[in-house]
Amino acid sequence: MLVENGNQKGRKDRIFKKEFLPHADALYNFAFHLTYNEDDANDLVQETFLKAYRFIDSYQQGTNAKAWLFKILKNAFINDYRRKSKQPSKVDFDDVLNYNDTDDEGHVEYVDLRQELFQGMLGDEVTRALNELPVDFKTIILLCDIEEFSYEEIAKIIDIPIGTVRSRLHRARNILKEKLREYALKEGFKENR
Amino acid sequence: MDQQLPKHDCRNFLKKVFLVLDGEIPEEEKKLFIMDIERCKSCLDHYHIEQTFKEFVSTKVERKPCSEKLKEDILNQIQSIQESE
Repeated sequence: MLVENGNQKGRKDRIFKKEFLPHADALYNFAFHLTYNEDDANDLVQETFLKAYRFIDSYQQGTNAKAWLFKILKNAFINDYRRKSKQPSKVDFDDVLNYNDTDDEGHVEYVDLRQELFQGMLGDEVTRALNELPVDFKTIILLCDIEEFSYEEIAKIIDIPIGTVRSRLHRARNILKEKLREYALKEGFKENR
Repeated sequence: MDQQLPKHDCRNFLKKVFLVLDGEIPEEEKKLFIMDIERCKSCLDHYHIEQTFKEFVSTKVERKPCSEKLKEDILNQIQSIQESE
């Protein structure tokens, strides 16, 4: 029995160190952009890894650990924010968590952002614009453009249909472009159309 | 080669451009898409703008690494859990 427990612990330890821990940087980056606060990001990553260890038996070794961990982190973040939104004087996060998606692919809105408007921008400005997006939109851009998850993986991580991933991503990129255009125009860049 | 392609439709570009850039369609279909938009200067220009925008976002957004201290703390907590199991 002792040997069996030892083997079980060894297996969990190996999975944790070899399959989970290598994603710490990506998870922290995701957490930081979601919270925009180092302490909150630390707490969120810690909570994610502890939950992952607790539920390690429901993880199938050798499968997509990164997507599994991102899903845990996203759920923890939403739960934390729902809890905080019930406290007085906090932001009403329901506004940003309950965005109504449409899967209407017949109507494709397109925001045109001239290349010369964004090419000279610094990382700080782009990071700020991204962090100012409503959380649903920020999340989908982080998962697709920063972490390079496929639409199918994103759908599983945030529990939405693939069609909604497409439409939300499209909308998120349009809003990001609008924000970057505002920044560029504020900086005195003139659009020549 | 153009003869194999249906008449160019700019609405088709809008429907597919992000699928192509996000790697969501097979390589063969992507090739046909590129061949199709090469016949329309406006679509080709927009494709290059969207391609640059995607690269721009993925390279310019600040990436924050997890501190070594946080990794150590996590491992210590896991060790405590293991010892109590």
